[in-house]
Amino acid sequence: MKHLRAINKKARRIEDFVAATEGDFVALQQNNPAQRPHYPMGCSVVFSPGWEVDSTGGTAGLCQPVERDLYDCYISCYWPAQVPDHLNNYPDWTAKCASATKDWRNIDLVFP
Amino acid sequence: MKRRDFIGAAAAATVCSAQNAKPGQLFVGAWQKKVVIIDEATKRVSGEVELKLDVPRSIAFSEDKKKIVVHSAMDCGFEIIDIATRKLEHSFKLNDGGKKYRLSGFASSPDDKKLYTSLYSVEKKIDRFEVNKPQWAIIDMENEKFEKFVDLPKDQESRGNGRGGGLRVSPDGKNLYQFRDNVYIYSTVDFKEVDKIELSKPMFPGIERVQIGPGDDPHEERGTVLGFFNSTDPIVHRATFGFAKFDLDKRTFDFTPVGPITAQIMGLRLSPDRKTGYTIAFNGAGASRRCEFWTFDINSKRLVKTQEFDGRSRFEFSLSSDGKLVYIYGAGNTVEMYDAATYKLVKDLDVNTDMTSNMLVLPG
Repeated sequence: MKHLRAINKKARRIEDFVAATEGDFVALQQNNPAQRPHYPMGCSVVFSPGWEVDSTGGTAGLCQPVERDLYDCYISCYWPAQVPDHLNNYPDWTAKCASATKDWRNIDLVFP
Repeated sequence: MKRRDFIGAAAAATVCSAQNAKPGQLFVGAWQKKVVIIDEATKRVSGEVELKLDVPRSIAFSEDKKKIVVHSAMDCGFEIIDIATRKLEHSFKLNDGGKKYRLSGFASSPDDKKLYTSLYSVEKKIDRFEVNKPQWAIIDMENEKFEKFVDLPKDQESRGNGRGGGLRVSPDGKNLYQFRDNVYIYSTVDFKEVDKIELSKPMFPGIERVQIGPGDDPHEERGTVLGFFNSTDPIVHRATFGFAKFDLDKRTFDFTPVGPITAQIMGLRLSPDRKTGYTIAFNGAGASRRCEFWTFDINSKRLVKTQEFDGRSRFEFSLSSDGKLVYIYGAGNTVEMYDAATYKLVKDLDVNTDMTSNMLVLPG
């Protein structure tokens, strides 16, 4: 909710200035940060990296095959939301699958 | 690139005999609860040790190289493996009911009786989780419990809450080194800061950080740390990298710049005679990323060979015990073995399970 509204010229200029700094368009200027892809926020907090795209918005940075990433991203990255909660509720969700690339069909389905 | 030696300390290391190097064993944590053993002679999996607690997150040799300490995230677990018998000796958890500990690195005392670590705890209350302030802690490995907690002083909280950076214990066990933006030296008794090596001055202008390995290089000289440093000059802001060498007993150090760098580099691995060093460098990002092997002549601190290779998206690397093979592993179930002299792929070993920790190399 917007609580403050500009009522004079100076205040409107401040509003315009603030709005300009939040824009997506970068003119031919220096000192502006390079634009990065904007990812939609879904059921998880973090989608970077994800199975969908890598941190540059492409797919070349993803593990190949993508199943290589399944355990390593769970255990070593900040990407736990897309897989079952191994630490608390589903410690055995991969008990029948040692190598995700080969045995991914044996991974348990989890219905939270 | 003209090489400049800022401190004329001779870097002549005590050398191991390369002739005595025999094929050894590799240990790597794997999904779901095991440590896989690979025989370097046959380049095959020769066994595995089943764990009790959870997925191994990091593994480390004891100081006497007779045991392996395995750490897992669930319940802040530790498991000890006897290397000779390949048996699990004992396991213990440090989480205490609703209180969970998150460790960021650890280092062992010279007698293997204690682990020094920085951590923070998360406590489950009736209506909320409380994240407590980071602390230093000593873990009593014999009695399987925390021996001591020490709160970080205020000024350390401003340094990234005191977390991160490689940890090393001096050979006499009196000091704990933390390699971060500066090198901090703490007493192992009460974690009081006894000294600080300010990297940005006066040794070399613009040093930003020192990058050391995980401490599991079997050929690293005992009591000495050899790693890379990055610096940026204050005028044109050109990035430079070089070698940083620390003597943990004498608290001496020297920095040898190598040249400009446009890439990221991984840690340094040494050949058995400590004359040759290896690392992996990355240029670019995403689809444009290129991976290169880099070989250094350690005595002259010169980059003597580079070779591009098809690196997987995410990996770790290590060097064989005889220094003849470079291992690329992690994020998956295969270990690629490259000839260290020619950089040709020798074997792509399928260990039939996804690897989850660093790899330890035990010389034969």
